[in-house]
Amino acid sequence: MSDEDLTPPAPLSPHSSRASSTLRERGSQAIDTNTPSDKSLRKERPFTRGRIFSTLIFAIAFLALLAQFAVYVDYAAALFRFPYDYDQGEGFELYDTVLQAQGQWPYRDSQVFPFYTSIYPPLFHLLTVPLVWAFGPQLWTGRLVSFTASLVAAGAIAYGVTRAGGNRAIGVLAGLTFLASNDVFHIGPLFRQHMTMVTFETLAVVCLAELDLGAAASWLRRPAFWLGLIFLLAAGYTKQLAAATVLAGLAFLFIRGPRRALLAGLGLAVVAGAIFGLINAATGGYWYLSIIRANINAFDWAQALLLYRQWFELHWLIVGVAAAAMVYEIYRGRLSVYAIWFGVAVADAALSGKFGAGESYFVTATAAACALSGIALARLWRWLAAWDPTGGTQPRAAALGPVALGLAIPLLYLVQARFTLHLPTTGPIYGPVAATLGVASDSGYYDSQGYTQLGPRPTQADIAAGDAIAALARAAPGPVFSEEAGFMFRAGKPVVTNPFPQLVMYQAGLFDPANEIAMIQQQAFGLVILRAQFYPPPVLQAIGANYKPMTEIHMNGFLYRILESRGKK
Amino acid sequence: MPLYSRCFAAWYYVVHRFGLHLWVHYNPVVLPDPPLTKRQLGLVIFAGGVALAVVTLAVNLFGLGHFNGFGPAKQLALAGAAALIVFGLSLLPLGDRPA
Repeated sequence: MSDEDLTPPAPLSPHSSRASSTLRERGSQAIDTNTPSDKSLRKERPFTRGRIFSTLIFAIAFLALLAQFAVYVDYAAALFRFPYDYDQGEGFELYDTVLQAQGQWPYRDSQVFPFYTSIYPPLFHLLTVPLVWAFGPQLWTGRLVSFTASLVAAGAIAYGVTRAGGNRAIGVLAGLTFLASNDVFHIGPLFRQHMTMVTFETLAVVCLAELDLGAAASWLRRPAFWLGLIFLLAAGYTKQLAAATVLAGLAFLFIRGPRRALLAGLGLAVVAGAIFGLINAATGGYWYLSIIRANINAFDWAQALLLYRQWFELHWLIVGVAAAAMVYEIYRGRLSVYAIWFGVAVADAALSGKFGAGESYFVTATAAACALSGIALARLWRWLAAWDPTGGTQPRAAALGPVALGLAIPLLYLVQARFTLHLPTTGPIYGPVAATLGVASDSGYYDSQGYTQLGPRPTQADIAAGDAIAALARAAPGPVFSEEAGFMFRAGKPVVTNPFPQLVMYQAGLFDPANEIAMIQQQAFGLVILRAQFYPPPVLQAIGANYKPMTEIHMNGFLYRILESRGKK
Repeated sequence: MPLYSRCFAAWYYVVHRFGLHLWVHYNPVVLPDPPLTKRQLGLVIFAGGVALAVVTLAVNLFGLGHFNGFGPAKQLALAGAAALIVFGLSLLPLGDRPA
């Protein structure tokens, strides 16, 4: 192997991005200005064996992640075609959207018929309202918004890594790694507000990171500053969990300029508080009750630790790199908004121990890990390319670092892709692929996470089962007491009850089920549809006393119990 | 005279009575706002940890909240406070480098 074999790979080298030269021209603090210019390095980049290997592994990693992305698109398309709740709660979020499309707030007294309230902020539903106006109450509308949001988040990660790290190839790999995460895959195309929150969080952080890049200027004159604050506000009004990212963003501003950060925080608090007060006044106080008080749930550390362990086992490579980068920035470098975001997001994931929480609480931490690890790897590569401990006497030895890293970085992404592997295992394409990868299974779906409720594509049998349940609901007299709202939209029945908020509000002493139980005792509901039985115990007891099993139908791996009236006593 | 006109007149009188318009004119509000150093950040985090510990102990001492005794939440809060204190202290030796 000649000396030339050890030079950094060209197209994927740390110096290949246009962004890096732009940053240097602007005198960025983030980029080491001692690194050689692109022009000088380009002379040292012949087509060498090391470069070919590196390019090859980069291409394989890219293709692997692209294939995983194709699985994601296929899964999303399957969900768009499925007209019923795939994840419990989707139908109720559609109902929130429908109410807002009609100019009504979904935050209301759940102790009177139809016993409904929402415990989520409105922004995601407001974003979906135009689609509901155009196409009616369809579950695919919110799923499309959420799926699109996940793509925007991945794009923002790729852009952020390219801007701060100066390497577009690593930026693209980081963005695709985000989409390949099991957690992102599972919840990305659902009619849930979580992914949209993560997207706003990511956009906010990427915007705030711009304050460290480019020429020094007043924050007030930087669109990135204002956009960052607006995205933070948007994230908070999409889901309350974004409070941690708001904290991270303000902490970053505080470190860069304490006085200006306090003013920015004050301004943000005034705007957020004004919106909060207006909605609270418009809903007669039910906004505060539903959004704040109903979200204080029982906490289980064992559940949180289990989810931490699962997340770490699936993402430990990028999490390890991100954690190392964070420690480096704390003690050796300068804290970036990405490092603060990563630390706060990982800590905030502890809220996954809340009753009703789950793996989705780690998606923000995954986004932060993808961004920070990508930036760290890109900067490490840049730094190594310029590093020569021999003082130019042994260029071959000096070039070993960049070449080794040029091989290690794509390998890292390739191995990370294997850790988060998930795909259907049957069919003309997936079957042979799964067999080749050694993950063939009779269940029809493989997920490196192990058992998961989300991930397998709904089948025609699932759609037929949903149609059967909807037909029963349509034929029943009067309103139907259903644990999932998707059936009601298909059956043309009003949505009655929202079980999970009822349960947590009952546990918190905020919900008295007396009126609901009275209607159940009067057998005012033509049919009862239960799945997880997430209702307050007295409600379930009343149902058991007044309704009898009619039939049971399997859909999406769950058993739906259909109950009919026992008849008037 | 409408209310807003009276408010404006009052504001105008106060500003000019005390010469505030001259102060603003000759002393534009460009206050220095340098970034935090590692040591300052360490002090802020250290103070945050101490405050968290004091609040946790005060809650326990004065019997505030729904539960008495030193339960898991208070233990967790104290552990978090200890971690913040140690983390803050570890930054103090790093001096005036930008945080």
